[in-house]
Amino acid sequence: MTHQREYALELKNITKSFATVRVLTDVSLSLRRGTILGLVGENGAGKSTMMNILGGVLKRDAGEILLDGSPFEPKGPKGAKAAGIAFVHQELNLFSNLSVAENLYITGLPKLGKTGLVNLVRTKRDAKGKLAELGIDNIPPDALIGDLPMGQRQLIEIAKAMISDAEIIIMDEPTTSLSTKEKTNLFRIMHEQIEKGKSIIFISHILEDVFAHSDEIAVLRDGKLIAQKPAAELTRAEVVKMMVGRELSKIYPTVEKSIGEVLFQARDICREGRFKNINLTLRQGEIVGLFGLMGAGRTELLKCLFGVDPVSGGEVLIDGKALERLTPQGCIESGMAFITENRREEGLLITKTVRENTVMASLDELGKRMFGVLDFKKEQAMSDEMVEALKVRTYDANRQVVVSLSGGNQQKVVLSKWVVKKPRVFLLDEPTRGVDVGAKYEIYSIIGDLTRENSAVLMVSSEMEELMGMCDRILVMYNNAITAEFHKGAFDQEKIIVAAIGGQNHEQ
Amino acid sequence: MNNEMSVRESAALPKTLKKLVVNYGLYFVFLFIVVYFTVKNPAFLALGNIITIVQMASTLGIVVVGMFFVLITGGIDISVASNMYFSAVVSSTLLNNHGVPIALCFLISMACGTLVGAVNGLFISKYKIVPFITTLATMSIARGLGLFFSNQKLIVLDQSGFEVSNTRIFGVPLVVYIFFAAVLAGHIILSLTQFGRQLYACGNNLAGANKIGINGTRTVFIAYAVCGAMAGLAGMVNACNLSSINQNFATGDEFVVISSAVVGGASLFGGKGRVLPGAIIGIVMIQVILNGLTLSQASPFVYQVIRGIIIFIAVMMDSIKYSGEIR
Repeated sequence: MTHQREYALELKNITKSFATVRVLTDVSLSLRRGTILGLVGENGAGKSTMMNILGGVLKRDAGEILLDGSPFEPKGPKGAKAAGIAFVHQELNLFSNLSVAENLYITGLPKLGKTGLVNLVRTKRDAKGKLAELGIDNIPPDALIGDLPMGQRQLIEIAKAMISDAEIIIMDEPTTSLSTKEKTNLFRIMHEQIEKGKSIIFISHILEDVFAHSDEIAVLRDGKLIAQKPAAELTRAEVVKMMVGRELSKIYPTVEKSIGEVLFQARDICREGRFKNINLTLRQGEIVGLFGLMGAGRTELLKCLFGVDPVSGGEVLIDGKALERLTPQGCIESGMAFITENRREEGLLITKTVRENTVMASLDELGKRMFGVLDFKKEQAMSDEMVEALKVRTYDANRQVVVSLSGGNQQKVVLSKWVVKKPRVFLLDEPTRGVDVGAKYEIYSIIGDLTRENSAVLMVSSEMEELMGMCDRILVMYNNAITAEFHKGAFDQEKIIVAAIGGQNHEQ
Repeated sequence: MNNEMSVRESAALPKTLKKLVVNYGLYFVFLFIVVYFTVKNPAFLALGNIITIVQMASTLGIVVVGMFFVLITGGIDISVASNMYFSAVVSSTLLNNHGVPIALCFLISMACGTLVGAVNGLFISKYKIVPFITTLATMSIARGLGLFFSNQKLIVLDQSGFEVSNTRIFGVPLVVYIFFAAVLAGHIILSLTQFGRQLYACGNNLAGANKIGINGTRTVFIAYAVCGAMAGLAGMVNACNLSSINQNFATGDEFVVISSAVVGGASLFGGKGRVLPGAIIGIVMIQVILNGLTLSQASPFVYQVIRGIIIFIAVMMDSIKYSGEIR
């Protein structure tokens, strides 16, 4: 580099509309060479659109992009690469049928001389070297991607971006499926790149990470740049305020409610090789949190309680009456609802409309009146009611497909699918994962409203703060057993975490 | 602790068994069939008969190589049999009526096949029309064009065509060499070129491939063109073998080809399969069964039933293997 400018990348007054909807208005960002720029904003704030414009996937309506001071016209993934910009996309673009090494070099495999044939040996050797250089040499280069756990796959995706020796690396939510250790690894890699003079744009929902690792922070809201400032001059509260545009003094809604009789009981639930005699009760109007580290068995327990996974012993009682068959069908009929953590795969028909998704679990009821022919008036009423009650942000519930909604709104649609059936026991698995701050608040309100109508909620979450704010009681799981219980008023972060990692609390 | 271990082990055993059955089940069936036929008629394992089997397998085996390319993309091509007919009619007519040399006729036949394949590829990759529907249409079109050019008459090939099918090198028919050459070329392209590796990538995750700068449209297009070319080549080879082309030429062969590819390890879900040895094993296995049935004097109508059962088992194994894999 002969003329090193201060800014590696500048975006000036970028504007973009989809049809009549303005998604970006006059956004200007600048990435200082050799620094990390944290980019935060709610889902739908325009972060992804911004990056797609930079990557040449979308065309901007107006504005200017300067790369190292000279104008840059992005033309597709290849063009970006040639210009020295690498992307780590939110979703993994890996091929599960190819090896790690092949995935790393798939767009430019090393050749055997001039034959045009791939040099397999060199591919593997290069990959091994590169992985070692990045400090992730515990992954063998000839392992099939399909055999690797998600966290390692994400590291490979990140390694792929490093291979092209790009000057600018753009990371869109790179930490979503990483364990704490892998995350530490990623941040180490990021800082090493910075020391080599590379520049990084780091998009993340996790403000702690953004603050810990960014030099500057830019906040987008509703397609506008709210601020770009050095991280040291900002506080978390300020950033949150800028993101949502309102003061979040009380992040958790308070609901007037009373806790009543025992509604749901699980007795001596066993599953071979997994659970042994697990007991838990939920009372009317109660929100119970289930905390635990990855692999503690939280999701698996919910699956057993809902009959998704067969149990080898024990029973589930509602209003003191045991369910005859512990199957999902039986549970639904008895007034239970289970909202899974994989809303895209298990909870939604993502290419169908909001309305179709809302009534999906109620088709039986809609068909009752006319020998199975659906009652469309009632369907419409149901869908309208839910969209309003749960504040689903859609331009037309009859036309907008769920895939085009933001994560928070997708989750609301999943919730409404069940809420419309008025169940009394809700099992929620990570209801706010991947949801932005504002929508989180709305989901908390919805959960609070559920209990006001005497329902009971059992909620799994990895965010302790959220459980402490929402729950009347927190149960902690460790190694497939419930090891501790905390009541509202006696919540203590430290004690909860100690229980979750298998330690003993003396008072318990 | 001990208790827990035994629970795990007892859960692991059926899993390995399932894996064994799913991955190698067909080979066990194959072995059983070979033993069965040999017991019934020892002539089954004679060298002469083995060469006959491989020779009969070779024609469609060439198409199986092409079908691997298409199946790896996650697509399907049911136009191959009609394509064989169309290409064979065009090139045989040139051979008979215009005295075009036989070697050139093979190239022309391949070109005709490539043309049909390219039409498939264009509509499937560029205009995103479902492969099954696209190739269903070209299946009809190619068959129709063949009937049109031949005027529905029997074409009897010139003497030079007949000579091709009788040529043997070291006692092995020329056709077998063509088949093996196709397998080798297919193998090298698929596992040792950037195009080949990218083809597997496209079959696994096309959107992802496009996003990282692989030209998915072009890659998928080429796969269909290759499949068409192989069908064209096989059409001429088959015409030489039969020394004539009637209206029912290659009818129904698309299913033999597709099922052979699946038996040989390709997946209808894409992204999987190796031409070497998959294409050989697949087609030979099906040919063995047909040959064995002939030698044991079974009713010809049983062939269809048995063939159907093999296809069913192969596709079922494919589905079982697929479920649980994260794409």
